[in-house]
Amino acid sequence: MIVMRTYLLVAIVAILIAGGGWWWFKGQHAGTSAAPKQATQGAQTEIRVSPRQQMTREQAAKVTEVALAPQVESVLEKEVQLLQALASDPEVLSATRASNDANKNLSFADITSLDTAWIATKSVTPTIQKFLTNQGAQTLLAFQKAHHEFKEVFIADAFGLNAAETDKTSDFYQADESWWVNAMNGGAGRTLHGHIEFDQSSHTEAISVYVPVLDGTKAIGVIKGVIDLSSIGAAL
Amino acid sequence: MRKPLFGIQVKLVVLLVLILVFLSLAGYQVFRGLSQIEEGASIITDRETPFVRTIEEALSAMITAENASEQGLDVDDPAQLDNLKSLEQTFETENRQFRMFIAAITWGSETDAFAHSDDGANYAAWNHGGLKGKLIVEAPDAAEAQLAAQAGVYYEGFVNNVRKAFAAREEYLSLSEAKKANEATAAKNDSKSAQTQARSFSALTAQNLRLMVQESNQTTTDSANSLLNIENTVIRDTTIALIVGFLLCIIVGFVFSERVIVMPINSLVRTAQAFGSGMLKERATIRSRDEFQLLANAFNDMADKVAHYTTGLQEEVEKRTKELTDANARLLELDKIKSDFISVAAHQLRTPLSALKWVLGILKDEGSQNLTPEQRSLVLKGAESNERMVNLINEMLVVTRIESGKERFAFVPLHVEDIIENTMIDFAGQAHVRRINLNFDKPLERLGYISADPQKIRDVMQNLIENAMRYTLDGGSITVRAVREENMAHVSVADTGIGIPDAQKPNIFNKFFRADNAVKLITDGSGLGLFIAKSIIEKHGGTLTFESSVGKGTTFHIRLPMSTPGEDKTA
Repeated sequence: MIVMRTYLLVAIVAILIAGGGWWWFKGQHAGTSAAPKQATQGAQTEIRVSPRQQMTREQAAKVTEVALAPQVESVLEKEVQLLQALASDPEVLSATRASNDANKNLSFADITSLDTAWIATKSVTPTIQKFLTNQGAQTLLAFQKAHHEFKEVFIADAFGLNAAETDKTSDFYQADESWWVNAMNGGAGRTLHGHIEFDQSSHTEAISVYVPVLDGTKAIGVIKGVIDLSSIGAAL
Repeated sequence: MRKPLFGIQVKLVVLLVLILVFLSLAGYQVFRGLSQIEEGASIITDRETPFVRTIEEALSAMITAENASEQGLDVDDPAQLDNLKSLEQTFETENRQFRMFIAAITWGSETDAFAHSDDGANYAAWNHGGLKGKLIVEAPDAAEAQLAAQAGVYYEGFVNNVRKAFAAREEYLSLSEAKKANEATAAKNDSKSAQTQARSFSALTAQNLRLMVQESNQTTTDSANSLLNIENTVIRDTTIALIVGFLLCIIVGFVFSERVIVMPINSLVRTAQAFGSGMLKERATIRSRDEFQLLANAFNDMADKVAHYTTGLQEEVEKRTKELTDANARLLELDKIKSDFISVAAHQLRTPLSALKWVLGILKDEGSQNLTPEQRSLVLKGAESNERMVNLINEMLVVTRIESGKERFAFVPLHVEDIIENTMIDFAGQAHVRRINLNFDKPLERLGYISADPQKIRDVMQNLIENAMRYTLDGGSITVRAVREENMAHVSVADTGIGIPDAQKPNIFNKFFRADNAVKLITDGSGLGLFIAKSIIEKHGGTLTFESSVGKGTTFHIRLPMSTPGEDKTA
């Protein structure tokens, strides 16, 4: 009788401890979800995802649809026109086509591998050097020299891979980023700009402008130009 | 004694630690809640308050700059050109302050804002305004940074256009002074146009700043609500933790006392009770590895020894009992042989003694005239000795018959007082000679009948009165009483004789036993009388007892059952 009573009490203790543990665990997680809004560093103008997580166009559109005051949009429109002129430059068209031809047989695994290697490389390797010095890059550098407000310009081809660039980009594969998806617009092409971006190292602010490279009416790539925000302010 | 591995003290410590854990759980809930409250409060006090203050400072700087510009652009008198210049300087100073505030919000800290300053101009303005180190802005979130950056862009538009307006206004004043009316009007229009643009950018900037304040207010409201939720959660969690902890402490305490203290004690009690009731193989089986197990082991050791001794003792008792039984059997055998011998010897002796008695009787009665006095004396002594020997032999024969169960009793209804009276007549002469006061307190009414053998009862009475006479000194008294006590007839024979020593009282009814003082007083005597008397009374269903005090006397009590109608005892 005593043994049965003891077993019963032990069972009650075990149930209470298990219940308490569950309640405590639940409390821990409820506590985190109830926490107030946390500050985050810097503005996120684009969503960076891995190559395997392709963003839908609808999702991308929500991120990069940015509206500034008409006066600012007017100034940006002028910059867009400069980039559009660059996008129609024969050298740019040629470089984009060449890149598309060169990359058309790459598998997704190849692209992933190239992107991973690019991201891991901190210095300028011969492979990267090629994108900084090819004919397309020469054209971009000349454009940048004529228009100092552009801090950086580069071309991403129809596969989202870099075709030419004025500076080493952080990654090689752009098709996983919303701006590329929106600017390609499924081959129809679309011009847009992003949020104001912040560069903590140089303490500068910028706005990126995205212009499709059109081969006729078909977008075969995107030119991304990063404009110093101070030049926008000065133009107002 | 080896110290136990898990002693009661260790178990108590474990129990206390467990209780401490339960209490710590409640304490943890309190501290966790306090931490969350502190975190939520710090968002309001450390971040949102300075953030809003920074926005307010920026807005204040912008309004001052705007007022300066509006005042400056109202200047229409060329003589007030210096005033215009002064307002322009005020405008630029406020610009630098505004940029500093916006930079602080955009880049998240005063240090970063200084780094972002306009070649030190902002820093100088900041320092000049006495604001260094006073503004702490936590890192902004994405929306806040966007709004701040946009406000910065719009403000640049405001600044650019105000500067254009100031330049046009200065040109207008110069042209007015030069009396160039048409050019002056054009410059004034340019100034107003730029001022309009500046106002629109000012409005955009203010709008963004208001949005930032709204964002901050929302964050503050969310934080305040969060604090309320946390407070409620802390109260709830702490209460539950305390209740659960309290219940657990009670249950664990109960289980602990039950398992560690009560159960071992009960087990030991049961074992001790079983052992005490004769189950010598019962042992304590406590395996608690604490002091109770030590106690159980000690008990078991003690039980082993007690069982060992007890078993040995039992064997010894059985052995001795068997020896005594055997000895008793041998004694009974010998007693029977002795009784048989006495019986045979007595029978064999009585015949010649009877012959001697007859011869001595003839000599004493018929030939006394022919005997000399000396011869006559010898014959009388011989007859007397022969008489004692005959009596002894008769008594021995009675004893033999009693012991062998061959003594016959003829029960008849009789009055015991009649037998007493008749018996006492035999002693009256002797009492008179020895001046012994021999009395019979005869009851006024008859006691009633008893069923008894009159001869045997007479023998008993004769024996008791004879004893009293023998051991009562001359001049003493002997009193016989007969009373009825309910359904018993109580006869007592009380003397004032020598009494019986206490040490010899237990043996007084044994065969052949005579008290030392009795032997000393009268050497003659068989020691069979009281044995025969007690045996006879007991054969009647009665009792014979006595009380005696040395030097004061002895009283014998006979209690015989009264006869009931129709009763007829046979033996």
